[in-house]
Amino acid sequence: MNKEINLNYKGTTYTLAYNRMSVKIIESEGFELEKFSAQPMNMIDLVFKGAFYKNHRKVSQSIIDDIYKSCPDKTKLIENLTNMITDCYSSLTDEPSEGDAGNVTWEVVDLTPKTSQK
Amino acid sequence: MGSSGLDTKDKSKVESTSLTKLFEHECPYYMSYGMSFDEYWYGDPYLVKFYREAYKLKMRYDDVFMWKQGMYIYEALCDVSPILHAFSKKGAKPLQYRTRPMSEESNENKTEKEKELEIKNEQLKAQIFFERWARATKKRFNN
Repeated sequence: MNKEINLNYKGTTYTLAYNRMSVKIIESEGFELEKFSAQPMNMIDLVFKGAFYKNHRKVSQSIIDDIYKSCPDKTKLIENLTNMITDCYSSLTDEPSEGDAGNVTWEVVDLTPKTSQK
Repeated sequence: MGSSGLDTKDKSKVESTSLTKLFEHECPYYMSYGMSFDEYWYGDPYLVKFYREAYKLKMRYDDVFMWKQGMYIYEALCDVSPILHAFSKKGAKPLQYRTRPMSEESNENKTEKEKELEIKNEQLKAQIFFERWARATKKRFNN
């Protein structure tokens, strides 16, 4: 089934997901599948931003950048984002598989110490 | 002279895959399956699989429906055939068209009396067939 990334940043939960419109938007902003497959790091900002389009369209670029910077295990994050984009087009040709247990729930918890207010 | 292998390699083009183009190309097909524009573009990417499966089922149902319709037409033509041709005998009457739909004539919907009558009819048919066969065989041996 469809994959989502649940992300918690400074007490706010973000659900990162892709739909076809998100892919269309990031493509219009310069995303290219071949280039991303070859050199994912060059386009990761765009891909990460694209994952916000579906559920959190109004989040500003600076917050998205901050979230990305504080995200641990970036390799796995990129891998999951790639899978989510792949799902958008592979679902057009794939046959439904038995027990499609590909659900990935990915929790990122903010562990930075909270400064006490004076 | 002549071109080197490298030159021909340089001329070849690798077309990039545009996902937007692919999505836009496929969109009308899925809309014809009954999927809405919003579901296709903004919904879960996997929805398309179920629309595809549902469409296959619908095609199968439609096929069965058309087959059944053909059966009804065929039966109706057979029933009316005694008076449908130019050389039909005077006073010929069409056979009676079925009184109930096919689905209602399945064994489950029949009363006990109707079931008994059907069994008797089948037995009678078998008896007639056997008697005819016995007569024909006897005739052959006598000759």
